[in-house]
Amino acid sequence: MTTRGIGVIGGPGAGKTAWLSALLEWVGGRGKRYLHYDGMSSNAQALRQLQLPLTRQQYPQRTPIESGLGLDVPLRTSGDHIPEVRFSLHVSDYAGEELNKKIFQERTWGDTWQNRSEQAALLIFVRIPHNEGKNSKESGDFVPLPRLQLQEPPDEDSPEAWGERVYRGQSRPPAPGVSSAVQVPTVLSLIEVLQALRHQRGLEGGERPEPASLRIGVVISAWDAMPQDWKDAGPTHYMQQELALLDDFLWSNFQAEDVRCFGLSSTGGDLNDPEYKIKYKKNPCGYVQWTDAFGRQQVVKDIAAPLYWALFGDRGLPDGSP
Amino acid sequence: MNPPLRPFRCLNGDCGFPHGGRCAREAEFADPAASCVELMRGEAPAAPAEIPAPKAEDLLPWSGQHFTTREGLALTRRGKTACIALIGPAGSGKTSLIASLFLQIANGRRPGLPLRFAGSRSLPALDRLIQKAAAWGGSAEQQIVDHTPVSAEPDPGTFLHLSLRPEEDRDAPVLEVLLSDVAGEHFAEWALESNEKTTTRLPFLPLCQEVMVLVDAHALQGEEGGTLDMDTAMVIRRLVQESRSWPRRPHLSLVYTKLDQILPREEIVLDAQLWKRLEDDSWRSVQAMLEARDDGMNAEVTGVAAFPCALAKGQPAGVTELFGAAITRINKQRPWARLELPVPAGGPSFLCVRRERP
Repeated sequence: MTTRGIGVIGGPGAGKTAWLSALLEWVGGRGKRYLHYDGMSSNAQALRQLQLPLTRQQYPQRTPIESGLGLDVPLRTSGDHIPEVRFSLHVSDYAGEELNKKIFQERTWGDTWQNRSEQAALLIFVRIPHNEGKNSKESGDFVPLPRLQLQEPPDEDSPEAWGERVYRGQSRPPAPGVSSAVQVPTVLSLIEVLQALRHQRGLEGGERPEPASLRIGVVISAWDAMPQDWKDAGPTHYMQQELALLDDFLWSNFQAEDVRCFGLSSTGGDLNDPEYKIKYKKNPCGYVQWTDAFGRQQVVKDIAAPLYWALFGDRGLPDGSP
Repeated sequence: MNPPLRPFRCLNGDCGFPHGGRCAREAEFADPAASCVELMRGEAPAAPAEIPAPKAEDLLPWSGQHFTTREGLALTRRGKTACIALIGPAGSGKTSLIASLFLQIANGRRPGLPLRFAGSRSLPALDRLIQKAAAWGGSAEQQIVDHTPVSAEPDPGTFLHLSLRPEEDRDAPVLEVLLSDVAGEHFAEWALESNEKTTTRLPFLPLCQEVMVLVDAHALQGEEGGTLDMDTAMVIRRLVQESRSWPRRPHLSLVYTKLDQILPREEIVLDAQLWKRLEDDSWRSVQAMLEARDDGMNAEVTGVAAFPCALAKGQPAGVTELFGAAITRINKQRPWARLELPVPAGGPSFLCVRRERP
């Protein structure tokens, strides 16, 4: 077995805590799994606190800044097409506060961050920009993601629900025009961290690292709250159009096959909906969507899919069978 | 009558609740105002002991602010660099133009600019600009971005930095773009007299491959329009004269800014009719540009509307096209002199028929 590290970063409210909670529920759940625990974390108490809300079918609360700046979860993969690999999931600054305040504004980053530069992959959590022409919120003023539409999560019994989805003739989000709003980017602090991590690795600007030496997975959280036309178009198209600065930065500085965008719903639906809450209690699950190399949308229940990709690339992605 | 409530103060330095934000311990308290022991009303207790400065190894390798001239010069030695000077009086729109360009790049809207964002060492500085622009409500009386202050430091921040990568499908190297962001007052002094004092703040000018002289098209139509036109012409003539002794003469552009204040956004078309109208208001500057061309400089006239309206209401005009044309010209330049190898007499025939590639 090999041992690797995967880093998880993102600003405050980007969904890292919710995903980690749901992931821990998923790992310890019933049925076929490719991801398993590999011993106890050094911070088991913190992990328990993380899982508690979802065991009560409640969303994890915003992570208090002083309750720990990092978590390490030892995990391993095995089964079917998945090689057996032990790795540690590092969620540094899972409150997300350091990203903007300390690194971007105060220009300080300690050993914990600097050591992240040696990790094999990074998962970057982003929240949907909601600041069309307005001031972006400070890190302490996060506004909850708007849930304009409550989409039914894919029915797990339906064979068409999982796996490949080919969208033909579906509506696409309209391209911006002259009278479209100018969006203020919210990913500057993320890009700054990536620049710093690349610098720590000795990479010059525009220098693409060796293939598979550093994978970057962009995870767009609360994907279930997206309007249907964005779901149809897929997370890659969303990133190209709505997170263009990050998309361009990743294109310029990483190998194409080492960058992947995922749409993630940690809980599969809205836990504030009493009916869904009951359903979630019986079978807690979320889903992950991505655009494959052929432009097809793939949807799977296994919310660890970004981890498989981070470890093994495209060959690690599940095929969608429930 | 009850006295007014004193403002909230929180002993937790990371808490945003006193300022209308979120309590840092929100997960513990359903009602922070009632329950949080660190939250209080009134004056804060005495400030804690001074926090020691972070160690050098804990600092990011770059400041994130404007590059100094020295830093810019070091960058030009490392690789291909596009150094673009934006010259103009205070209020002509230099900083706004840079902010608008960055927003367009950030939005992936780059007509006329065939390069993609590859990084920047000035992200916090650019962030401040665009946050200020985002707060602008669209009123002509409000400032869109903060006025660039005059600095007395020997080598203050001068450039904002962008790394851009050509979007062609090959592993093309990035281009480091330096955009000067200097207070307009320095150029006014320099135009009147070029001496050691006035050039102290402008040592970067000889490095630049492109110089854009900005003039406010709306102000040209005002009472002081004639004076503005005269001052602009003076800057152009000073540039023409000084550039004769530079290693390479820059390409010169006269850029009319704030076109949205003389035309509706949808009617902004950079055509002969618009130029005729602008020329009537700026014939001195146009004459100076013609003299620049006669002196051997490449010179052109163009216009932009960097912020025709609040960000939520529409896109700018001409911004990416302006910089796209400049960067394309720079990209075509050879960074070093062409190597002329003599053809040896009596050598093999293939050497005699060797042709230089254009």
